[in-house]
Amino acid sequence: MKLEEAPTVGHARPYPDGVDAPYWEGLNAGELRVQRCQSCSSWQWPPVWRCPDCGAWELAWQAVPATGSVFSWTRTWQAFAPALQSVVPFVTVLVELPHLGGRRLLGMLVDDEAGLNIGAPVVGIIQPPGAKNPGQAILRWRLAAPAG
Amino acid sequence: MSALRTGRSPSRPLYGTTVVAGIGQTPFYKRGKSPDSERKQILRAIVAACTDAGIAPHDIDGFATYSDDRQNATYLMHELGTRELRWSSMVEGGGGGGVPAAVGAAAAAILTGQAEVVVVYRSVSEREMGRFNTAIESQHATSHYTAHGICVAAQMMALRTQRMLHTLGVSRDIMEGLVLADYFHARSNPRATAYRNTLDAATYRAARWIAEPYRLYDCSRESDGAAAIIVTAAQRAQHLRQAPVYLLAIAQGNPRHGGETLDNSDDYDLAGFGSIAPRLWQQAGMSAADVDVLQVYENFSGLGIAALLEHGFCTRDNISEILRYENLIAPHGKLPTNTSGGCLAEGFIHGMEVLLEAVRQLRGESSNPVPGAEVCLVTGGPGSTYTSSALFGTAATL
Repeated sequence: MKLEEAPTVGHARPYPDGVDAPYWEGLNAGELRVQRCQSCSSWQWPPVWRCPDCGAWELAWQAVPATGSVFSWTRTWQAFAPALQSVVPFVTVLVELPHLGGRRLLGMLVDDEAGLNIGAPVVGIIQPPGAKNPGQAILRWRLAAPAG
Repeated sequence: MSALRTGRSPSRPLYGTTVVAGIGQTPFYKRGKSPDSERKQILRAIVAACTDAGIAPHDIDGFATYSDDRQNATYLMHELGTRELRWSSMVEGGGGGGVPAAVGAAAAAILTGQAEVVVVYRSVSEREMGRFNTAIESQHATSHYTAHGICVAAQMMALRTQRMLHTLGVSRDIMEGLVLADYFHARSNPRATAYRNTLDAATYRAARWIAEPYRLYDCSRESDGAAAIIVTAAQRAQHLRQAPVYLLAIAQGNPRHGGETLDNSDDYDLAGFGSIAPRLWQQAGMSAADVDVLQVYENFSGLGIAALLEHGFCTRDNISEILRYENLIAPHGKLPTNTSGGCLAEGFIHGMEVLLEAVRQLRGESSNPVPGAEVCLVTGGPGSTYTSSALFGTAATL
């Protein structure tokens, strides 16, 4: 699927307690923002109120590059929600980001699927709010161009 | 059977000190087709379990369930005529990870003197309550999943099995033996939804994709139905109508970095039993070699495979050889597994079906008996955010 065709199922929104709100706001501002502990500098995903590594309560959100490699993937063949009917079969990747201590983010794969494999490099691309994903920008992924 | 087995001991307060006194269930209905509501179903199953145990329903004084079952003790006690309610507990976590843990809760209540007759139960009626998936997903498939097209458990678990195939260096053929063994066992089980279903390898391999690497037969269909077991102290064993089946060990929980992790767990390619299995064996004074028959919750085939690996029935190196179909079938396989068909071929009441089959096997009542079976393993919902395993034994294991 092309980036502009990628649908969101339901309304993408933060958890009721808002612990992940800065992530969603960051996407709307065109950035991938991830939480970092202000005490031990560990990257945290899922978002937390307290650092599980050192116990600090002070965590801040930082813009980071959206690059990584495919840790896993699945191609879904059934439209489990009406919004998916236009894109099945489609691929969802779980991307490992090495500069974030190996934290993993899910995302739909857009554009060419050639070369899809565990370990394949991917680049994140933010889909601005639109007809298919109203109200909230979403991070999608595409396979990085193969090395020359 | 291992010569290391130690039997009952003061240093093992859980080993052989509680028994399954009775079991009961409704038929497995196609989802949405149960004639009864969830509560009426579970009442039927509980009353059937009481009849099996030779007790009156009003004698139940404790309730133990799991996975946000909507029918709780405060409703059920009225219709059961409960004389005194003394215990009620819920094991949390998505999926059916808490099946063995609910038995552990019943045992904990009894061994601490807080209750005497505890029913472990589960009821599903999708006509009334909507797809089970809907309930799970409302809690677990948050925007961090649905924004990426992940709506159902099959997709979440497919991602994990895809990773497992990579780390094991095997193809999806590794799952075939378990699925075909399930269907083989279901063929002689009149209760099974796949009773007389002649699924063969060619059909399994050619079935439509659900979410790669899962095809149709790798994923359990949802059933309507309810099931219950009654747990009491082992001292009551001689008064029971049926041969007593003893709880020997139970372990539950998660390793570090487990739970709700948005796919960031350390054991992502497996099923969540990495810290549970060693505790289970240690508690029982046993190893995988002591198990005569296995009931493995495998609503997604790849995760059932992972559960077998994590419990030590094979290694990453010999998994393809060990988990072949021939090894998994009763009566002569080395690892007879899911002897009534499992979630995939018998029916799916979130793991109660594998628990009931463990009891039937050890009573000698299974449709596919394993001669001389004394020890049976039951593993809970694989890939759940909280899971558990239990060992059961006959009187010979005490």
